[in-house]
Amino acid sequence: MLTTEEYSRILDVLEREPNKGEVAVFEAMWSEHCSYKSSKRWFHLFNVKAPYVELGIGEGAGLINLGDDLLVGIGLESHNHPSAISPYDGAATGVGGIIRDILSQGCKPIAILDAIRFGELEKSQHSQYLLENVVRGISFYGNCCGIPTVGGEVEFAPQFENNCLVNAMCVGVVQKSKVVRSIAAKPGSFLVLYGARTGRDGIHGVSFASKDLSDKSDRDRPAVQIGDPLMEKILIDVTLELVEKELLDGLQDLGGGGLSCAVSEMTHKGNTGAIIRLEDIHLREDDMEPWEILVSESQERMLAVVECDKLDEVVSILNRQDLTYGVIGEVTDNSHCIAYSRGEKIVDLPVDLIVDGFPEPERITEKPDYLKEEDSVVPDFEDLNQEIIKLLSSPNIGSKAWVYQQYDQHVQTQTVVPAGSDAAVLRLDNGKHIALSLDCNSFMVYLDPYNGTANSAAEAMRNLIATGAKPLAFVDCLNFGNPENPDSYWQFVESIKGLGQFSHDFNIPVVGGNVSLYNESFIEDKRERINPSPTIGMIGIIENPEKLIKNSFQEKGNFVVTIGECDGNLNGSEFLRNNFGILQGKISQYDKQKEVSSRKAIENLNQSGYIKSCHDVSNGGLITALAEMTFENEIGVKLDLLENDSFIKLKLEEFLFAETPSRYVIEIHSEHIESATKIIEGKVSFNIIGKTNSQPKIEIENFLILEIKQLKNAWNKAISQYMED
Amino acid sequence: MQIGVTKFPGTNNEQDVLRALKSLNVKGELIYPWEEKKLEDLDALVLAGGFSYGDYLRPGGIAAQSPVAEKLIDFEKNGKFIIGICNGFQILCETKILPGVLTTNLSTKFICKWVNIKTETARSPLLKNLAPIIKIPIAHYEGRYYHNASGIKKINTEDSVAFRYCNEQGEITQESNPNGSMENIAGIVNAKGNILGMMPHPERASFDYLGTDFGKQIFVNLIEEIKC
Repeated sequence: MLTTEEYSRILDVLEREPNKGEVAVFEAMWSEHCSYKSSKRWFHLFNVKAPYVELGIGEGAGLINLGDDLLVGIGLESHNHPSAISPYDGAATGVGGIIRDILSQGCKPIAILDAIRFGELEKSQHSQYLLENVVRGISFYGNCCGIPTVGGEVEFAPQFENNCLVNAMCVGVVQKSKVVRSIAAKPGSFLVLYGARTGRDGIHGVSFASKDLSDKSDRDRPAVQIGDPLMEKILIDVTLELVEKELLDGLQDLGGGGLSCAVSEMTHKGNTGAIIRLEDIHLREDDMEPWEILVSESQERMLAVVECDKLDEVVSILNRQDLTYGVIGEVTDNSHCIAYSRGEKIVDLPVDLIVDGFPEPERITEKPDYLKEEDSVVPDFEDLNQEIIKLLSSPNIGSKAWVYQQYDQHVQTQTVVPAGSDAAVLRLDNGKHIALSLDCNSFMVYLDPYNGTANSAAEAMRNLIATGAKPLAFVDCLNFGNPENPDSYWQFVESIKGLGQFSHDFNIPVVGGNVSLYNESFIEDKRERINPSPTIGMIGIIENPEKLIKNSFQEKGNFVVTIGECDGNLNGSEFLRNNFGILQGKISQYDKQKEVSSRKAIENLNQSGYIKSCHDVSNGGLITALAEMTFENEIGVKLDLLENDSFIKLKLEEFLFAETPSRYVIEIHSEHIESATKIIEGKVSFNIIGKTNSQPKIEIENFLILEIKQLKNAWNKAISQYMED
Repeated sequence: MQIGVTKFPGTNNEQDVLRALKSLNVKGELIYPWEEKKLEDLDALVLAGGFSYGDYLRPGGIAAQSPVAEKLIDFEKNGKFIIGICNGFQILCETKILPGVLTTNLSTKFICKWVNIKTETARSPLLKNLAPIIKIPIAHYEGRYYHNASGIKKINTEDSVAFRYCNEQGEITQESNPNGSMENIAGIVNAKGNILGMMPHPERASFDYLGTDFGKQIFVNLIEEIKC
């Protein structure tokens, strides 16, 4: 809904009352989802530059140059509200939308990753239902389109019970000379709408996404779009042919806000205008009102700008593939978007007013009350082994195989490292490898949005480093509560500051993303808000495939070394949260210097060829990292910690479970340990903590013996035990 | 030498098959559903996987009614080779060129993972020189092989089972059966041995960087047979 202030602005500029069609356009385009009216003002905090960035924030895909003029396009988007009330279709169309975003720049989609968040599986059947159907939706859509889903993350917390999050990331490739922009630059060009027919689904989708959910949200089900992956697959194939033949002068998918958004954004970027004729649009239902056609969010549609002399060829390709299309209008030079319906003018608005003419709303920040709580205290527990098994049984820690085995991870035959490792790795046609990670620790962000976010971004980076990749760029999906609530807005602003700081500190630019606010709900008059969740999707390159690092122990008899120092801080840890239900206190602060030293240590050791395997330490702390490294090859590890400073200083549970950032575990062959030590000595805090062996156990002499089999069993069942009969 | 690779709307493995063939210096040719005339010039056809026509009726159901599919029987009768992979296998069953059906996985979920299969017959030249146990990916929602009792008996008597799912040691066990296929059947050949249908993806096991290239041998065999 437009605010009074917004409506007055429209009256002032137009000097007349807007008609029904025009109001519908403003409602869509000035919604939070399309306009970024609460968030855009902070984007200047991001580092957006690097020599290899070919296209930054602002269009469907950010583009980065991998060399040889092969560009990688990357995008990340949310589909939270639709997935909360219609999980299957909501998730499926979330995937469809981000694929078309990438396609808009002419990229061939080559990978999908998803970050999904739900309430607690062990307590909530509703969350089981959502997980079941969100995964099915992603699987159904992505698999059918022939794009491998290679990674992502899954997180569970009560805060997501009524506000689940579904973020989809897509990566594509395009030759630099074939890039298409989402711009309508040349007056006289034709606007061609192709793909699915336009129906009533998804009307007001962006408005629905720009308000809080409530117990009445079920009534908004018609605002959820319905996906057709076969149509998407055909759309992809045809678009790639049009791109290859260089027939398009501009291209944008129809997503939030539908046609009104695509036309106004493309003409706005091109300093042009457009005339469209609604009767030339193919409809699913004959009796649609003109305003419905303008803002329908029916899926699998693209709007192309085609120069006059290329129209015949475009049309013949669309005809050959039997794809519905309409030449629905022309690009003009009068800076207005004008829509006719059977000769009657129903919209005539200045492009600038539609796209960024909204009055920027005042937003207030206020530090939330919950942050005043004191540090957590570890309750007494009896049996450490049982606590470790309980931790590994947490759906947040345990195996996500139940999820990713439903995704086709191998189609396109480029998947070198599939889901389940620190980062997914794909081999591109030119022989180069890219690594992809998608991360956020919402618990840490909840306790400290600034440091939690910077550390989450650092974790996304560590996942790439642990795979041997050099991070290049990232995209973000900023999922937060209602910006009209000062405490929610404070979380958002702090988080963006942290992310901005990280992007400058490591010179890793932000090349795209999406903001999803209003992830709050009033259910039975009780306020519920998600943990603030800035998910970060990062891409890195592995120039030399021989430098690809494995994440699990490779051989017995090798040294196990920790890089970075444990601070023993358990606040925000999965151990306290999962095992004892405690989430409070001050988290480990983001520390650029430590993060840099640890990263350099791994990079230098890998350069010298000394790393047999590597895994970053994150959720669940050191013991989880070690356990995960033993699982694949069932190679055990025996730790000798009697001279380990952190071990001596800290309590055992702090040493094992703290999630201190900037840390890695690495495996080094005994022959190399001396030279390896020389490389990092004095440059980073590190400890040789033990050796791998053939015993299928994790052992700390005099303190702890754990059977790998038992750990693995708990870890394997963490999610599946709630999802299978 | 002309090897065709089918591309129905919704087929999505055709480029992967082309890539495997290209690595063996063979340029495959895409065959669209309306290009049945092209079949006459082909030496062999690979029915690539994916979701032809979205699998909207049932997997392979609509593709089986296409002009190209209607010519498959003639193609087979002429002794030319056809390999149907995943959705291609489903199409071969839908056209009754191979016996049985492929139905929903027992888990009622899409399953994508690496499995082991064991070659069970030497009757088809396409199965020559294969490793005894092949690690290979599957990716399907409807891959559970099913046939009635007499049908299964016939397949066994005729030695038509190409592959069965097995464990790393080559034992055919219930645990190693990913989708509930009858008798762990992962692929079958026809009596003449010129038609092979399989749910696992050999093209996804054709390069070392993917984990193994054991699957490539099937394409090597195909090319050798055509050369003969």
